[in-house]
Amino acid sequence: MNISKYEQPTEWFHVTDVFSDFELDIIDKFIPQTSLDINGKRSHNTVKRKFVNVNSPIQLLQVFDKFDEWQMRKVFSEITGVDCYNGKLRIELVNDNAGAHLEKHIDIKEKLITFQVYINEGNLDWGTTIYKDWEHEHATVPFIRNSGWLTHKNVDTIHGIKENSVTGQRHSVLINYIEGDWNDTEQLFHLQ
Amino acid sequence: MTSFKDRHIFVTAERSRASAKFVKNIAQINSVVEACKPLPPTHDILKKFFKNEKEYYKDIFDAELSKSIDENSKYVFYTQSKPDRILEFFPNSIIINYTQDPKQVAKDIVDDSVNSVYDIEYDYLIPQDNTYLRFINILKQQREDLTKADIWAFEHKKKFWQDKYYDQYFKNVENKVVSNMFYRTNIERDDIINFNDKSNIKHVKTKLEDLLS
Repeated sequence: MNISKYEQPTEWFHVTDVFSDFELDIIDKFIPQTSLDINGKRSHNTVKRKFVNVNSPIQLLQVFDKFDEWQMRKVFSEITGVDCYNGKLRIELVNDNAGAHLEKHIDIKEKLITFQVYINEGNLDWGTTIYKDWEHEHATVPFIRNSGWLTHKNVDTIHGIKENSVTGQRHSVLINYIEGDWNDTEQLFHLQ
Repeated sequence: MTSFKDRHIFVTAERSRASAKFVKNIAQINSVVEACKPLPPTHDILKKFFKNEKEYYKDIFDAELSKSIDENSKYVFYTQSKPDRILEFFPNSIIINYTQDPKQVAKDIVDDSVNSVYDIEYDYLIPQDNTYLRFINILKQQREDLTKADIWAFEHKKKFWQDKYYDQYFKNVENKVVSNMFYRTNIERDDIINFNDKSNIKHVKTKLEDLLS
């Protein structure tokens, strides 16, 4: 995994070479077949979303188990300065439909980190756009298989998916470490 | 390790014909001299042989650098390592960050990998019992005219290169180049001189000479 740090417009990270070819093949297999219409907010579709938890197939759990280990938590803690050792792990397999868009937003502070990895091949401009402020774009993370971006609770990274940019199914994995009480325990890697 | 604190010049770019030409052009500036023996490579060149970047610079690069340079002169390193990695190890350096058209760069890299026999660069720095060197030597025993594309195919398919792999290989290289170029185009720091195909090389040279004087 290669991590590049950016300091503009706020601190955030571009991450490449996250999974092995073998792991990518497994993720491909378990990405939801049905894509979700995302019209502004991902939380509108909570019931239909697919999270990796103890009920998931063992192959899938093996792929993501490394994110539960202290070595990986150490990497994220060191680069972000946020203590990720005790955060609850939440992993979502995402299949966004063509036309998906997400309003500009800042992640809630219960999410210690948000790490999104793009899984399928698509157009470069399907990636997440990061904004300088609520009006002006900074850059769109290139939508490239096995790469992604990361932000954390100590910075206000304004981000979203621009309207009319996604023209096909957009597969990704969303990884969070979470602090505090999380009501939807079935979304967690270890059911509480 | 005083050599790490010196003000070296690094041209950081994806490897391509254009970037190699650019480095030659920059190196012709009067104040930049040639080393008495080849400069040691930055970590990116030998990263498959030496996994730990920090140990490589400390144990190998530093010793080699002191044999190559005259402390009163300036040298140009040509590297694929990104500016942040270079500045971590060489904090006083001048960085020229060269951005290019990713498609053309990917084509250059793939064409070279498919058509050129693979020679291990700087083999005198690599111990004979190095695991990756042994892997390469085994492949060379099987195929005398081993190419970089063969190595990629063996690492991904457990087979030597076949033309049917071309599209996947190209996509793999292109993805890496696009990701790297995204980084290069989004870095703005006072200690980095950004350069692209549309920039005027005279301005870069002037800026460089100002910084060196």
